[in-house]
Amino acid sequence: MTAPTLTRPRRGARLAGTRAPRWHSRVSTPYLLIAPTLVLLIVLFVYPIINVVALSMQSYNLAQPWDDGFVGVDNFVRMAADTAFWQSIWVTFKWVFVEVGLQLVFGLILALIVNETFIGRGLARALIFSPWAVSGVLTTTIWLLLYNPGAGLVGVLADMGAVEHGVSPLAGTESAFWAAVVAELWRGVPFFAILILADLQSVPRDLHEAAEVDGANAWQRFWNITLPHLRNAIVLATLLRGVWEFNNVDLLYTLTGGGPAGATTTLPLLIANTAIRSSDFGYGSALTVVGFVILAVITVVYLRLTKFGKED
Amino acid sequence: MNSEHRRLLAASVLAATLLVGTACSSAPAADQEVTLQWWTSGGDPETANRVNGELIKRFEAENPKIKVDLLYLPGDSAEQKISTAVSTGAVPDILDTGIVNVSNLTARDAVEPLDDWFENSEYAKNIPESALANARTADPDGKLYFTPTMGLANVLWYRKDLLKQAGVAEPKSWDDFYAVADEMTDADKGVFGYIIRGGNGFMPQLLDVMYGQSGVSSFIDEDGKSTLNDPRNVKALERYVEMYGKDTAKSDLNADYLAMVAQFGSGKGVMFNHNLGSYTDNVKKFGAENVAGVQPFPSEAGPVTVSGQTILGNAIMKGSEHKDQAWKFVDFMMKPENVSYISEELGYIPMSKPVFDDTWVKDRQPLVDAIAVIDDPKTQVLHEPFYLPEYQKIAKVTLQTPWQQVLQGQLSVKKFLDQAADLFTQAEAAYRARNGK
Repeated sequence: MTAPTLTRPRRGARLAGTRAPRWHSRVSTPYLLIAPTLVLLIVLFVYPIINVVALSMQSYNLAQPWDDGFVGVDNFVRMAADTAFWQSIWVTFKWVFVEVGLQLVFGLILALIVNETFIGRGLARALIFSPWAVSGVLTTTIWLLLYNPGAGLVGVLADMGAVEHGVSPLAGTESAFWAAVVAELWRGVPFFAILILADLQSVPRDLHEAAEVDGANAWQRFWNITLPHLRNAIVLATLLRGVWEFNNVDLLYTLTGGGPAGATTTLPLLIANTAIRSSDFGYGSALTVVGFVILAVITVVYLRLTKFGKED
Repeated sequence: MNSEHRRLLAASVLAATLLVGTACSSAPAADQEVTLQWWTSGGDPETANRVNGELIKRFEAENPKIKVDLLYLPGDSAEQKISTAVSTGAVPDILDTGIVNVSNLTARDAVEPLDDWFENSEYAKNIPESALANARTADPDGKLYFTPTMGLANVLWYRKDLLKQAGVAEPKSWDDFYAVADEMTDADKGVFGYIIRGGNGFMPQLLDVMYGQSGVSSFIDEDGKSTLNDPRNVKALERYVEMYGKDTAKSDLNADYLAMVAQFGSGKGVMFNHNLGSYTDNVKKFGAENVAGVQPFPSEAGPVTVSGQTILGNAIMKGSEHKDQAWKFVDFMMKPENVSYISEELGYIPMSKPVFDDTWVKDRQPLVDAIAVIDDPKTQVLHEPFYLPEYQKIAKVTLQTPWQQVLQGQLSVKKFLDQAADLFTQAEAAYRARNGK
């Protein structure tokens, strides 16, 4: 009787009926898995950018199709001499600085208030955060009604003799800007309040207690403990909000349409009016490219200056 | 290739086959039921949808194999939506359009010439020759790109009841017009004698009042030069602009159609300029006896000068896959009874000779006035150059900011009109050069 011999299968040998994966399938499978994401990115992100850059060097005006064709940098040369463009740049920066600055200040104050313990805090938080859930167009509708000289708050004030009849904050080159600022402030403050409140809740309480024992007053504790702790939240919120306000179209387009007399025409509104209302997609694309470059440069500079994400 | 890869390839091929199959299956057989897309934008949405819905019902009863889907486009965004549709190829079969907009569509080769169908239509002979000739100016080729079945005219609307209460006589001249605006203004009560259109779509009002006063008879002279900055127009517009903030609300700086209608409807504005399309709305609110719609008063030089003589109708889009069926519907809309029905309900001038004798036409004071003025051989009709594809862009977008600057005193009337005249003169010169005129 011969004892059975146990043999160890050779490393890498295949079991009967199975096939080893080939080299190329091992290499290609990860690419196949990420392919859908890549395709989406290319279709939704890369292609539109390339398309806009290509269009920016063409005359492409639906109202004047006989002029369509490659024009090189003509659209950018035209932009340099376009007073509406420079005016829109000025309005855009004024809008972004005023909006983000005021939203930060009011958002911080409100976050500090609702971070304290008091009766009705839940309700106060809900009320403060609720405008964030309102869309830009709906916000416009609310504020258009308030500013309506016939039926709105302005009309009531006129009936009381507080303001002139037939006057609307939206019908004045100076007042329209500030009327739009107030409407957007109402919607934008909750964003800062939410982010800052979330960060406030992670400020170590023992640091405050220690500072209090050392004789620091409330302002000193806020300035030296709370504010430095909030730095990353503030940088992130101002950056995000800055980009959003730069690109703000929904509220301004529906509230003022960029008027009166161009007083609230920011760069995105000029783009919308040029491309959509004037059907001049070539020049509109050139304006978009410039807006894109401005935002990219500002973002990089801002993140470097604020040392976002780096510890002191 | 392993089994996984084979399965992946097979799935891709199957998906592609299905897509191709779906695309192919969209081509209808000859006897198959066809659904037409009809986009409209005239009138207030509620009335327009009701009236157009009724017309579709009548058409479908006569043509059971053809269904019509209606889409109403709000007036302030209709142009943009149509423009996007043309760019993307997602066009309807039939479009409710007019002389003001159709040149944009012909410039983009988006609409079908209707001449062959039109010549064989039994309703073609009903359309007034002047309307047909006007419709053929939309494109330099002189072809017909829409059926001119309805018209509009600009009108000065005012509240007769409010004037009567205040003991103010109805205006009969331009001097009266300014006097009434002044007398009816009671700023402390928020009531203003006139509503000036400072916002979107201001141009028709401006032209109506300016050329109406000045008596200048053409928009572009024989040399291709715009007459907008003619000294008589400058003088007329200066007088008109002086009303802003004095006899009008300052909030009129942004006033568009909806704002004007709201102000007029609330009794806070006594007079405003708009076209005949406001008739049904005004009558519904105040009653026919309390509102009047009059044509421009004679100018200092004598004749009445009217502008805004627009004609409306249906066009067939080049992208339509059912052009013959679409023509059936367009032809059906030219039937006198249908022209009468839609014109009566939406406040248009019917452009069908048999309808001129309808009782309702003779009962409407603003319509009777408009037709009488047009029929008067002494009347000067200002023909805006709607054939310029840039017309709407210049009138609605480019000049909007300068016009608001004028109202606020930041830009003189003269400079504004010089700028406007330059733009139209340049557009006219380019048009003539392109078409060898």
